[in-house]
Amino acid sequence: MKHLLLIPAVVMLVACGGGGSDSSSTTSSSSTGQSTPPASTQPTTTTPPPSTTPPSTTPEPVDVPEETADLVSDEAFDFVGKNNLTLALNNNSDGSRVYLNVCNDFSTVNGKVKVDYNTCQLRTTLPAGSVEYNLTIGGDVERLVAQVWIVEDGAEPMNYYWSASQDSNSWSIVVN
Amino acid sequence: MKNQLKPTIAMLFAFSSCHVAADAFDSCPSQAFLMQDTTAQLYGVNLVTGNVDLLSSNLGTNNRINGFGFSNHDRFLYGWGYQHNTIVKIGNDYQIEPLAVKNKPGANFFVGDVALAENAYYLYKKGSNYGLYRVSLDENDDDYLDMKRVIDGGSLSLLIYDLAFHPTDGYAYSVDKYGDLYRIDVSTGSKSKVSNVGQRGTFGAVYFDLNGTFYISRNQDGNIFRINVDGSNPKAELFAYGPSSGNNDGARCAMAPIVDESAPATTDFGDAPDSYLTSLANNGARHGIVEGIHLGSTIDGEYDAHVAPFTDEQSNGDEDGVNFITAFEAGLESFMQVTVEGDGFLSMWVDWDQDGTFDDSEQLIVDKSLKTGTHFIFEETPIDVTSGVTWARVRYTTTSGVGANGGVTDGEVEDYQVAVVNPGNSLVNNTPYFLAYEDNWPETGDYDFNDVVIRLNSSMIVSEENHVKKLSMSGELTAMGASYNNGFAIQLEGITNEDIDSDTIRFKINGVDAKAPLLETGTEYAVLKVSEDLWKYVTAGGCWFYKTEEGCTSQHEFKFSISLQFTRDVSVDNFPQAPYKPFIFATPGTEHGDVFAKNPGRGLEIHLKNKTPTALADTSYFGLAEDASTLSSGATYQTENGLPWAIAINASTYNNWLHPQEYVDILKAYPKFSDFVNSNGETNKSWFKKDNADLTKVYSY
Repeated sequence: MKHLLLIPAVVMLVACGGGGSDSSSTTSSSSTGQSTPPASTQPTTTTPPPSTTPPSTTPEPVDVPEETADLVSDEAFDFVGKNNLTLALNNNSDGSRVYLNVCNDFSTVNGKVKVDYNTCQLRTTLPAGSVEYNLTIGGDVERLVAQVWIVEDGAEPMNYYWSASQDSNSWSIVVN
Repeated sequence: MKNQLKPTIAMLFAFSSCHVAADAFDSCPSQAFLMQDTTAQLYGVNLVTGNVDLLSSNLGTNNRINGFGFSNHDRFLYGWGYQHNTIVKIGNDYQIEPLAVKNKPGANFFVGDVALAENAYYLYKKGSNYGLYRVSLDENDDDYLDMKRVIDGGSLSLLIYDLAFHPTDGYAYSVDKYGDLYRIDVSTGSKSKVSNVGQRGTFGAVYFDLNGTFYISRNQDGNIFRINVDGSNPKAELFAYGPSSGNNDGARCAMAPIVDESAPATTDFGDAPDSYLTSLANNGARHGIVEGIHLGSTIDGEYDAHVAPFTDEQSNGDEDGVNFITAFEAGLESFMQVTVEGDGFLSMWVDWDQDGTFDDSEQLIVDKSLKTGTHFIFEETPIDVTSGVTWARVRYTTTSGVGANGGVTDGEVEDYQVAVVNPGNSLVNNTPYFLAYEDNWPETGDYDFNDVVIRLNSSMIVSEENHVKKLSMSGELTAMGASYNNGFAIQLEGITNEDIDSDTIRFKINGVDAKAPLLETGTEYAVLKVSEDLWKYVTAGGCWFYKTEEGCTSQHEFKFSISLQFTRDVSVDNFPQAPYKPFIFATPGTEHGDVFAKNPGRGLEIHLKNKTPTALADTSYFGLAEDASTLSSGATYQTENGLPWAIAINASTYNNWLHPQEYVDILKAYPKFSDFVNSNGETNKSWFKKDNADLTKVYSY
């Protein structure tokens, strides 16, 4: 491995411990009923401004780090990318067995949500009443589905959604 | 037996001087030939699955052909034609050419094959007036096409319906109606009983493959069995469910393997570990791919199984037929959604006791009749199951009564890893972490973060009381751009060795129980030593490093799996969180850079930033070279600019992270890494996604 010189270039302004919380504007969305899938969760792309000829008097040039060795990190930032999510559930169903799958690998096919249950972050029979689960989810998770099944023939799942860009990192669901 | 001698066009051609002789077969075919029916019909049989294709319904004869064999000397088929009461030769046009044979005994033959050690055809008929005959097929021999009796059928008395020559030992073999396997020395006509194979019936078609495996096909039910004739006390093992027939005769080029890899693959296999009987060598579950009958919407063809953990499928591949909506909860009904195409029978096995096999008693669904569509199925999980992640096998086919292994002509097999828990327990899966290391610590490196890259998956079973009942981990070395030798370990902070139930530890490397103990001693909290030297398991495959240079792949892999149970109730709130404390360390006795006066060995640990080293680390290495750790404050494994030697990427998908190519700075490969670092991980959290990579600078799988 080559040895690289460390060139401090960018001054860090923010100190933050651990993995940090969800970053985006976080309007809390405490879903209490079934919701529809969020519309496109594509990140909004910002178009770079058209390049212009450089003005004759340029402001102080901003160093754009070109190599990792140019970066400076806060002492406390641990480079472990993860999001914490608290899921609060209130199961008010009438005693039927209720099963919950919380998953990020899903798609909507012909109006039905198709989930790869093998990759779900949480799979559990829901106890009656209130229960809370703490989940860690990948830095690139854009949305989750909480699929609730009443375990009986002909059942249709109830689907609840969480969006990284729109929701806070506490998510509550009420099952009636 | 009849000598009807009705002239046919083919026969006239055959005997006329202007007959254009058929060509030999192009090669030694992997498929077996099967002759059936009273007007001969020729089929090709895929012995792997029992699938049958009609090759010709008109061989130019109005009667049977029997006792036939493939000549490896001239690549023609030879058989006994009942219409002409003589030996017939069949080339690649599938038309018979009756041969003028001398000294025929006046009977028809239904047992015969062409030898491999000599260009001669052997025919057998029971009874003292007949017996075993040798017919030379070599035009240069004085006795060419002269039928010479080797021994009379009273002295060599066998109730057999076909025979076949072994590819190397020179003997002919057959199984009689009582299941007795005989080895026959055709030069003397002597026989010896090898064993009773445990199956009775009319074995009208028998074959060998290149490896000397003997296949016998039973007329009554079409079942194909395989026998290792070289073993001690050989037994017949059910191999495939083929077509039944009242009249069967088989021939095959014994010098061919049974799988032809020059043609597109037509067989579907499962991918569970081979202890579940998955590969062809282990007579694994396999299905001929036939349009209109399968599980889910996709099915893929393979020459042999991609057996776990060496599956090349990152996620589910063609496993799309069954949705396990609930985990299997002991004593409760599990709920699944099964999608099938075509009418067939569904069977499912689950390895409830996690012993690595599907026992007959572990069959959860037996021949459930389904039609095209999606079905909700409820099945009760037995009460005495072992909790954790185990394997399930699902088979769907038009054949009823299939077992958990063996070949069948149609449908599909899908193997799944499924969760089994006690009632009320939750299964918590962490999305995978990619742990990427620079191994030059305490010197800085080239920041390609590919010296060691490990994918770490983990899951926990948590009780209703919020206690962690089981921790399962699995991982894979996905890159190693290191010239140093490194080991890999994971510390569970807050969990001591005594907290781990040593009797129930499961630790496998590449699917096999690991020999080295998992738990290290001499540390405050448990350290799971996964490998002392990762280079022991993989090679660079002609490149400098393992999977870091473009185009450099390797057949070798390093995968591990661990499961742990605990001797005390550990609350999930006090349990360490993924990715735990994973670290690499210097392999003892190996060199690790000029900064060390002598080989640093196990004392050199390289951790994620701000992780404290274990008690086995040599803390005198801190502060050397560019390391700016302050152990007392917990600010460790960082440069004076706060840069780390290891990062942990938490990804939502099971697809491998595309790590930077060798010597490529991670910032060049992933430009958004800069903002991620500058914001202390607050923005561009998905900097590592493929969409954000410069694809010319990352390793592509």
